[in-house]
Amino acid sequence: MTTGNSFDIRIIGERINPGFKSTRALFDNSDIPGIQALAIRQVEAGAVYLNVNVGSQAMTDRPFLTDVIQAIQDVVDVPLSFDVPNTELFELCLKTYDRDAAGGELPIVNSITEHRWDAMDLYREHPFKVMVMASESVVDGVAKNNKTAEDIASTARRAALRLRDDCGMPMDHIYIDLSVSAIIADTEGLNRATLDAVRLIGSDPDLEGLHMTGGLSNIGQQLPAKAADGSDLKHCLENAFLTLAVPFGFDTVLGTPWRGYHPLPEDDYVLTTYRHFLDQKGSQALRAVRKFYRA
Amino acid sequence: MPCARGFDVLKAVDGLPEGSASRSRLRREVLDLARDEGLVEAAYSYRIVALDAPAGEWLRAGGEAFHAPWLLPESGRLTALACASCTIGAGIERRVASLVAARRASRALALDQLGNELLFEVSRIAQDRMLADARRRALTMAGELRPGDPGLALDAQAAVLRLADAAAIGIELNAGLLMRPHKSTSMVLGVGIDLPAVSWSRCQHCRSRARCRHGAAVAAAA
Repeated sequence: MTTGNSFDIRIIGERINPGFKSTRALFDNSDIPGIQALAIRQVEAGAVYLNVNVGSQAMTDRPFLTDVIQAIQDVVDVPLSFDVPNTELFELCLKTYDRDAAGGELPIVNSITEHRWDAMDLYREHPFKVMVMASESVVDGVAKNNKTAEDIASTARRAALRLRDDCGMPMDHIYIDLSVSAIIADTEGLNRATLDAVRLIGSDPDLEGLHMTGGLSNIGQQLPAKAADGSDLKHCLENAFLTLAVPFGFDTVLGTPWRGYHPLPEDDYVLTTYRHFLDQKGSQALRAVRKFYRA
Repeated sequence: MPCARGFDVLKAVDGLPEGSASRSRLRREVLDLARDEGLVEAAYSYRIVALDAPAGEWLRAGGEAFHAPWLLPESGRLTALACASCTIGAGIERRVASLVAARRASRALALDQLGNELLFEVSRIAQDRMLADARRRALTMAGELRPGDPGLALDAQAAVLRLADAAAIGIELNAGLLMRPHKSTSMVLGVGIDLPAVSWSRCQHCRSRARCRHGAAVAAAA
């Protein structure tokens, strides 16, 4: 277990999520003390928010969802972020959430998109901060995936200004979720687009104060454990992304608090290879991926 | 004195990595055997006991004394010890013995291995429960020692079991400091105010560390 993050970033602890095998076992066994211990360990490792995602069980077992929220708040005092599939469940989470137990801090609704905006109907009665997925937009009434930096940045801007103007939400209550794609399948330059979008959003004076965030665990999916230089490839890729994104305002990671994120030196093998990868598309990108793990 | 018994711990180890096809088949067999014959009686008991005197090289709590300087924190204040005992009962060890007698050695070894994993899982559950309990009291918990491991002499075993009230879950200690049921364990953890995470682990001096499946599973989960 690595600890200590040397980037100036905030960590939203991601481990209460059945996507992690060890956490799924806790859910399968309704192991509430185990979930509480996981919450405590994340906070002790530096998480400032805890994301709560109980997976499909949220749809079928609502008492379990509320039990988990209450149990977590029973042992930690950081605010929570709720990742559930629909507005009805967001409402249940917000009603269950004890703001006093979190030092008066608002929870985060994770997440809304331009075409899934209905959770904002809850805002007046149960105020919250919000995570907006900038990877999806609505064009002519139809939802589509953004693939260029300009599309991602304009979606983020549109959503942030709408939240500010329609709901009166302060800019620093808005988290723009920028998808960080798995490089192994990224033949369309999505990593490049995300990093360029970070620069565009970070330099937009109207969006000052807004947070940029993303989950990093996808980036190294299905890659070998070791890079060609012997380093931990997945972890170094996460750090390579952050090394390029943090200086432009990417300030929050939905991640594992004990991963120990830190900037990579300019001559780091994985960072250098990642920079090269970012300039490629199509089959060239696939070839560039192999350089991460083949000398 | 909190204790729990009769919870389903087999389910928790069901999804662990299984290795080759033949090992996987064997493991499935012993999991079914343990379930069908009701071989597992998981239980734990623990107590968080305030120190009788300020922490020093000897830690005094509940009328017992432990020479456990590893638990002294680099910062913060150690105020209590969490003592726990865990067992999976005697069913698995009895069945292992009968399998050995029937010359079914590979099945016996697989069942014994399963018993170890189950005991680790009961320990993990007990620790999680203690951690949540400590946190509810606005305390932190750090460090883990087991009698007989580096950092805590085996002769501390009786005191740890007394403080954890191991007798309540059927654990006994014989004159040779052997626990019955054999598949039982005990532990002591530091509890206090703002204790930092420890930089040592009870596993760090273990000769089996490099090939330990339990250690690998913990690392993978992190």
